[in-house]
Amino acid sequence: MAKHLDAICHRKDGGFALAGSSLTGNTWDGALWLFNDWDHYINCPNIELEAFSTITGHNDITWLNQSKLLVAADSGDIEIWDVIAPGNMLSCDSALYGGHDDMVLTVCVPKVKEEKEGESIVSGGGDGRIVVWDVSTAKVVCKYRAHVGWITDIDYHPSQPNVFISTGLDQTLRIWDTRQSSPVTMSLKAPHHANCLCVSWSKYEDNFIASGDEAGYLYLHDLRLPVNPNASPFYYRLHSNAVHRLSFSPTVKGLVASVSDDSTAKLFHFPTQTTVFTSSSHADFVHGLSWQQDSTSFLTCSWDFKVYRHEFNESMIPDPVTPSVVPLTVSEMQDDSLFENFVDEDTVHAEADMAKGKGRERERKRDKTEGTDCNGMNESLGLNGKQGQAALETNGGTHSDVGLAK
Amino acid sequence: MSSKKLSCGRDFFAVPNLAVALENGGKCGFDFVSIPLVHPRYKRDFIFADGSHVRDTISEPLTRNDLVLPSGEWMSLVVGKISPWLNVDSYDENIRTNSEKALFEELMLSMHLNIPVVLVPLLSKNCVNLARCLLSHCGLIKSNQAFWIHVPLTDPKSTLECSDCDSEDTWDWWNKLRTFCDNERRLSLALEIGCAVPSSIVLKRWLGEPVRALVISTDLFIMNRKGFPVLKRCHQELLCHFFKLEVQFILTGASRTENGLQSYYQYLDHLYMTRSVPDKMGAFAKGYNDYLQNPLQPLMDNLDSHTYEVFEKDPVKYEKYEKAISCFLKDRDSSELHEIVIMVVGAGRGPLVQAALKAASKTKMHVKIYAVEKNPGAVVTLRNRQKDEWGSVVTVISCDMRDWKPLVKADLLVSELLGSFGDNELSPECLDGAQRFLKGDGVSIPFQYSSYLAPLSAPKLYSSIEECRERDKKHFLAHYETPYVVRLWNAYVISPPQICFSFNHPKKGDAFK
Repeated sequence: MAKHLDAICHRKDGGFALAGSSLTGNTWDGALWLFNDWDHYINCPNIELEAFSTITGHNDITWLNQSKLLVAADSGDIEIWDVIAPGNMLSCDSALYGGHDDMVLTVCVPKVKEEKEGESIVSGGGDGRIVVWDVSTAKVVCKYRAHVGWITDIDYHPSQPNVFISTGLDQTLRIWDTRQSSPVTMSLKAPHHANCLCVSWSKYEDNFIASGDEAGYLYLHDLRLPVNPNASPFYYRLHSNAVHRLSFSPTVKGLVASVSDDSTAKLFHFPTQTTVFTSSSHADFVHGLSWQQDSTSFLTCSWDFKVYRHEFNESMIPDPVTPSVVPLTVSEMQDDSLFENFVDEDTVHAEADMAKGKGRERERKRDKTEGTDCNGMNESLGLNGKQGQAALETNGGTHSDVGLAK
Repeated sequence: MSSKKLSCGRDFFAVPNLAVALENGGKCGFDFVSIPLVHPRYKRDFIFADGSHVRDTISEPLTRNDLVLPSGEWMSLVVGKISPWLNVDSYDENIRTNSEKALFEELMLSMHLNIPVVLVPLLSKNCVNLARCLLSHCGLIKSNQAFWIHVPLTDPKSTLECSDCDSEDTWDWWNKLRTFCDNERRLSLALEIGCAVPSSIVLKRWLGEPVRALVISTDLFIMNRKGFPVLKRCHQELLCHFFKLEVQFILTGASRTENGLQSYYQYLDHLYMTRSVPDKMGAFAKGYNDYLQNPLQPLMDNLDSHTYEVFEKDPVKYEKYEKAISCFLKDRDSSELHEIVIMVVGAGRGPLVQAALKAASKTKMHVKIYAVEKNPGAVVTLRNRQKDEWGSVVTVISCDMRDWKPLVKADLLVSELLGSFGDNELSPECLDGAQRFLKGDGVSIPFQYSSYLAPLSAPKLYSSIEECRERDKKHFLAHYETPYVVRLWNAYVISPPQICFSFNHPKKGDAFK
């Protein structure tokens, strides 16, 4: 039985598809499920009977539109499954093949529709290739040798249909623009020498990208900062094992859901730097994650053959500190406590040059935190796309001036 | 040997059903398959299994049942691949420890299945712990299981779309791993050919390594006019170099032709069949390729009859000697009235005496030949030939040339005392000892010789020498400082040979350069 549930994906109407693989045993096949809503899943007497079985397993699924599901299969093809209206059946009519020389590990659809003809999607595989496809013709548009080793995740830019970010088992993140002749527009080194397994592009602030690595760290990359191999982006040890998938909330700024091999699912709020929610319901690696369109809940699926729904409402986010009424000393104390939460809980990598870097890191974070105090907490950590880093630094600077005056 | 087919296997990245995969591979003519032993996405977690994590790995089988294939097929048709997510050299301790445990789990499984070869990917120069794991596992194996280290021929980073990464020399990765594994014989190479072809120097260095297989992707093939896959000229030439080492092939990647996967195999086999076949000499000497032989020590040991026979079969050498002696005799013929004295020192069973007699008869010169030989066994032959064939022209002297006190002095000294490395069979010492027989204007054949030296890298020879070390209890360096005679094959000559020692005979004053 395909009990290793690897992917889950919501449709706009609230229905969702689920994909599982048999990773052990004699036959390494897979299965797909389609549910109209959460109640459908919950009331399903025998989930095994509802499965549409497949020849191979699959690592990722995504909806192309309301009636077509793209499935990244271990066979190296991307299968296109059609929803047949009466009875909500799934049937596989066609596939995109000839693109990958290894398993397809991730498939991604642009968040906005391109104006020109055709329908392009992008996929990444175990062969380190990114393939851009035209679904309408089922042809390869172009192929890139993108990473050395597996491509673990791809996410599109929130508003540009030709721009996406990829990450793989070569400790890099790369931003691509398929319109350019040299398509890599930015290449980021993953911090801590760890491989990134997942990446998510912020829905509202397109300068921010979150990534999660195999050691359990969560990162926030600010694309406005110059690429500096010595500077580490904001990071936080969110999980005790690999972060498998990450997804920014579709409606709430700076809120990211994550699932991990430590069998938990979490919600992390960047502006307040707090873990607002932790679920330990699952009993095995949690691999699939999908937000409900209105952010009121998200679904997770795991190798324990279970799907859970986790509710979210904005009251779970702690109140931001309002700096204008708080005396400076108190504010500093709070800053420190915030900071403690942040780094000391964190098992920092034992690396010779880290010690030096850490001091700088501490200062930088401090500046940011203080700066954000002045900015107002709801826009903290620079999660307001309009204002540049310069503005933040100015704010931080002002703050330290006040400190000096004291 | 040219009738032998090329051995080529098919690589599978995910195998839903092993029996089906084997059948498909067999249908296309492939000789073996390479498959993941455990599903490549089946990550295991050992660190958190102690209660802090509830993952219950015990109730699930690690992978498919070994009963899906008869053990004979596991042992002959399957190359096992190690999971790609393993990173035993990770900077993160948890990942490192977890990967280590998963690696040992897969290696133990491969041992249980008795598969002949395990393919281990090597992805960076950061491989110290991988070396340690492999070496410690090698100590456990009783069978002759081998490990093919899967290394790209050129750094895959160099062919990435983005050009900002520094590419490395992948030979350094392999060299590091091999060195840390103390040149373990079970480790050899499966080289993955990329679209970039390395320079000839880099290629030659690889040709000195124990390459057992080439991994070639369908991606490298282009289609000819009839829609059949062919390789570019540069890749064809590359393959031809490796045919010499009798490598096996592993075809990876999806089929890109309507003519089926077998057309790739047929093309590779065609290249193999049309390669330049070694000549007779090469075919005869094949068994001696990279085989350590101890040089002869004819001064210390008396050679046996068989050895003499092998030497005497040399088709070129004695003809050249005859020609050289003729030239000498022609130079002398005008003025000399008395007979010319020729001394053959180290006459053996008499081939040089024969050559001298032929030269004399051709040039119609009167000669007197002394055949000096210290091996009493060979002297029996010499005396018989003197009695039956040569007559009084030849005098056989049973004596070490360094001790003999002749009554007359020689016009010509003929010898064949050179070893493989010039002086290693003590030719200069013997000839200098015999120089006192020679008249002031006397000539020695040979009158000059030089030895040459070149450094080389040959892991196979190195480990052969190491094996000698285990066999006896000599000082551990003794075998490394012994000269050997080898027909070099899987070796890399690092620099062109350079002149080492030169000798002149007869020695005039300070003849040693």
